[in-house]
Amino acid sequence: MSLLILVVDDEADVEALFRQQFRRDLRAGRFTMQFAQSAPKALQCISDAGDASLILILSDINMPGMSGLELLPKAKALRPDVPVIMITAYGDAETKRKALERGAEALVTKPIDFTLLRSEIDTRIEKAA
Amino acid sequence: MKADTDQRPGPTGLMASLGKAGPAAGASIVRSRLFIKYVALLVAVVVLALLANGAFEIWFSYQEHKASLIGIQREQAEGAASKIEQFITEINSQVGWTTQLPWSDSTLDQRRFDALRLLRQVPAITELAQIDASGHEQLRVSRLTMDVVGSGIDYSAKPEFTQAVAHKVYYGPVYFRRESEPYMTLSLAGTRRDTGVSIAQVNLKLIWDVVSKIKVGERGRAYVVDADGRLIAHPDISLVLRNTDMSKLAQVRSARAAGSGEEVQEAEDITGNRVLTAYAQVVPLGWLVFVETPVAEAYAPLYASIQRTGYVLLGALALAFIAGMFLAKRMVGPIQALRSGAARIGRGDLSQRISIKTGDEVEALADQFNDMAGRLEESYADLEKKVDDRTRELTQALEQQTATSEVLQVISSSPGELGPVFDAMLQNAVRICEAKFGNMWVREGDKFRIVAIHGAPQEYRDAMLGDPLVLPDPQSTMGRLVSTGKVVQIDDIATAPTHGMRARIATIELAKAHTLVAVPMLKEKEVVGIIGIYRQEVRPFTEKQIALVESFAAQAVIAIENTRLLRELRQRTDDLSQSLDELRTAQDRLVQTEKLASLGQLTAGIAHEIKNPLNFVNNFSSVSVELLNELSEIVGGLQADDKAREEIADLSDTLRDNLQKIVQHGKRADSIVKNMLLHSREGSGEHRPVDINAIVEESLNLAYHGARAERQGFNITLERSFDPAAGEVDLFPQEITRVLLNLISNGFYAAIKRKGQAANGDFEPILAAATRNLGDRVEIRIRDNGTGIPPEVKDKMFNPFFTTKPAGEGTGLGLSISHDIIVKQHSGSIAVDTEPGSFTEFKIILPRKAAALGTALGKTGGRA
Repeated sequence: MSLLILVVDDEADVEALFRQQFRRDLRAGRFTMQFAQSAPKALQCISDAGDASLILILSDINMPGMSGLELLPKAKALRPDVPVIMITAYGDAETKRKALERGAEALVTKPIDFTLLRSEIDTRIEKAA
Repeated sequence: MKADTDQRPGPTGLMASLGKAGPAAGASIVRSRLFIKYVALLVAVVVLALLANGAFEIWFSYQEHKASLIGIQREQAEGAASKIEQFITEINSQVGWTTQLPWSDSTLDQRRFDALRLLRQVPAITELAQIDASGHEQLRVSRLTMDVVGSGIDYSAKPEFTQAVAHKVYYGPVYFRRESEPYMTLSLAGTRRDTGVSIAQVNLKLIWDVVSKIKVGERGRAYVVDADGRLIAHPDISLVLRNTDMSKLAQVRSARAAGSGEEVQEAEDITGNRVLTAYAQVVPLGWLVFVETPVAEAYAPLYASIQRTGYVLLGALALAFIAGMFLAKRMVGPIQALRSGAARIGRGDLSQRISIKTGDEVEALADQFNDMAGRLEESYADLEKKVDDRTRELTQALEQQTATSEVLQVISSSPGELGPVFDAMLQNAVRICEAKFGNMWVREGDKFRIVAIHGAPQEYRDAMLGDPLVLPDPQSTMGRLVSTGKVVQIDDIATAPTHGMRARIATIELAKAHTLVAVPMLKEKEVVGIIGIYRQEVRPFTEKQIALVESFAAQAVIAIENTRLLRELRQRTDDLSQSLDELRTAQDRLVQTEKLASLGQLTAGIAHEIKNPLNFVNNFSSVSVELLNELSEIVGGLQADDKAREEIADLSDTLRDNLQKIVQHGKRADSIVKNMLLHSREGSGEHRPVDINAIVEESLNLAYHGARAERQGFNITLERSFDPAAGEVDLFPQEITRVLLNLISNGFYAAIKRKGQAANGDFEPILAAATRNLGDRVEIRIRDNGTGIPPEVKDKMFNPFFTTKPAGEGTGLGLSISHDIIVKQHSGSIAVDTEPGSFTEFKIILPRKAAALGTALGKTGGRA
């Protein structure tokens, strides 16, 4: 059973970027990545994912329709055990406060520091293992 | 004095031309009327007297003349009448003789004889017939015919007989023989019945003679009419022969009816001429003798007399006129002289005297006029003197008023400036006081400053203005004046003690002053200044002059006070207008900030939108580099010829370089976008404790990158001297960052500008940032070695919208907003120290509790 990481972003190219960034891990089968381009789709993925495989959710905040911050409590309601890391262009204190308040694990500002993100993912994988 | 003095056209004509002709012309008319009146009166009196006299004379002489003429005529008439009467009586008596004898034959001869004797004795009787008592002619004796005796002709029925018997005598009607001689029958009866009647034919030629002899004047004549009014005798025989009936004439009618009315004295004669008439009666015959003179002749002397009287009257008239003229002139002359004299006096020519030497009331009147004029002249002179005095007083008062108003005008025309006011006061005071010069002192503490000098010699001016402050000795004039607050006058200061006062010595020696009056300028009993007025001779000032100087002193005090008030008012106005300006600026800035805020939001939105694709660019680029590295590894493990391997390696190196350049520029773009986001102050404006050194460092970097992004080839040396003890300050980091960015950017600008201006390129632009712990405050200094700030700019540099940058390079809001942020929002201070062409250093001091102390900046601050 492979580990699953869900990335929520309205930008389609995010998938390509993540897949390229984590191509070795994906090739090595350390985890799989699933991409949702909206919050509702993300919630669908979460509920489809089953129990164990989903280890991390990465979500953009600024999205059309349901925003990341709105998605956050819903995701936590479905899977309280799965940590959610918010990704945003606005690293301001207010956004950070709101995100942490609603149960986010951390707030990563764009441009994404993939080194940091990779270590974060590694931590989750180890935990899951 | 000539009476016609005032008839010259001069003033009267002038007055007439001025439309006041009425009274003047009236006076002239009155004058001539008076003259004419006098002349007319005199002429009238003389003429009336003469006329009355002449008329009386003529009247009476006419009456007398007429009466005498009529008297003469009557006399002549009576004379004629009496002659006729006598003639008839004579004949009567002669005839009477013939009737003495009674009729008898014996007596016939006697009778005859008597008759013949009668004819002889009485030539008028041409025939005598004797009638006997029975009425028969007995005898007729005639001169013409033969005597007839006893013819017996019966006369008994004839009037000759009957009338004679009845009335003893009978006068028959006149008849004419041979158509030329008048005759009358005369019958006479004897005294006895038997004596019969004698009838005599009487020739009346004698009567004619009588009548024709009567001459009255040249053409006067007499005539006789019988009782029936028939003409009996007249110088013009033809009238008699024609048996003219005169009874129709008024005088004849009147005479025949004598006693029934008044006597007609004037009537017309038979030819219709007016005549004077008188008559007499021939009693026994009933005849009337008229004597008449033509009126023209009768009155000729009268007319002559009237003519004479007329001549005399004319002469007298002329004489009276001349005399009247003369007299009137004599009378009117003095009166006119008096009048013209009075008029002259009335016109105010009081020195003239009326010279009339008539020795009468007019002269007395003239004398009285002269007295009056004299008294008037005296009183006029007195009055003029009074008027002169009053005029002089008024002139003085006017002069003083003018001076005062001039001073007031100067006061009003130069508000807030005391110099011209003092000068004008002194000038007027000196002029009106007839002084030589004056000075004016204004109190400054214990000392007095000379503020104005007028009319004094240059040496004195130089001496006094060279050292204008004087401390008055208590014993000196100035000292006494200050202590008493009263006017001091010194008749001769050259002889008075000087008390060693420099001002006094200069006044005496340099300005040669003698008489002095010093007047205090009193403000609520405090001497705030002194006005000194000096004469170069010894002549004390009058009370009025001193009073004037006092009034000037009072005005000076008011002027000083006004100036003070005005200055305060201006200050307040300036303050107010500055506040107003600030308010306006704040308002403008609000508007501007609103605009900038919306622009900022827009910028933030754009920046955010740019940032996402940029992230992709960056991310994909870096991934591509990794991919390229992997590609190289794979290619390295493949079999290939050297040349191809070499080419692949070369291409992948180039690609890698390109990708790295993409990454590099992407990051650069990202940095710019980040700055933009920061600059647009997107995000929360909350205050928090911030590390001062960190915030300064961050600002430096931001500014530096910003400047580099903005200008190609930008470079500057950054010097940092951060006090490690600077610590944290509670502030609005975004706002302070903004201020620092602004100051640093300005520093860059100035330093680069100076580099651009430097002749050779070896100028090194430096920007130094320093922090310093001041205990409960922190100091931040930003210093550049740029162009510096000129003083005129320095004063205005914190004003909103003030900018020295070219259009488009700055909004001019930077420093003003910075000022507000530091001073108002953070209760700090911002100061600038600069030297044009050398350096500019901004020094910000922030209290530790800056944000808590500062005032909210409203919307701007809230958003900050």
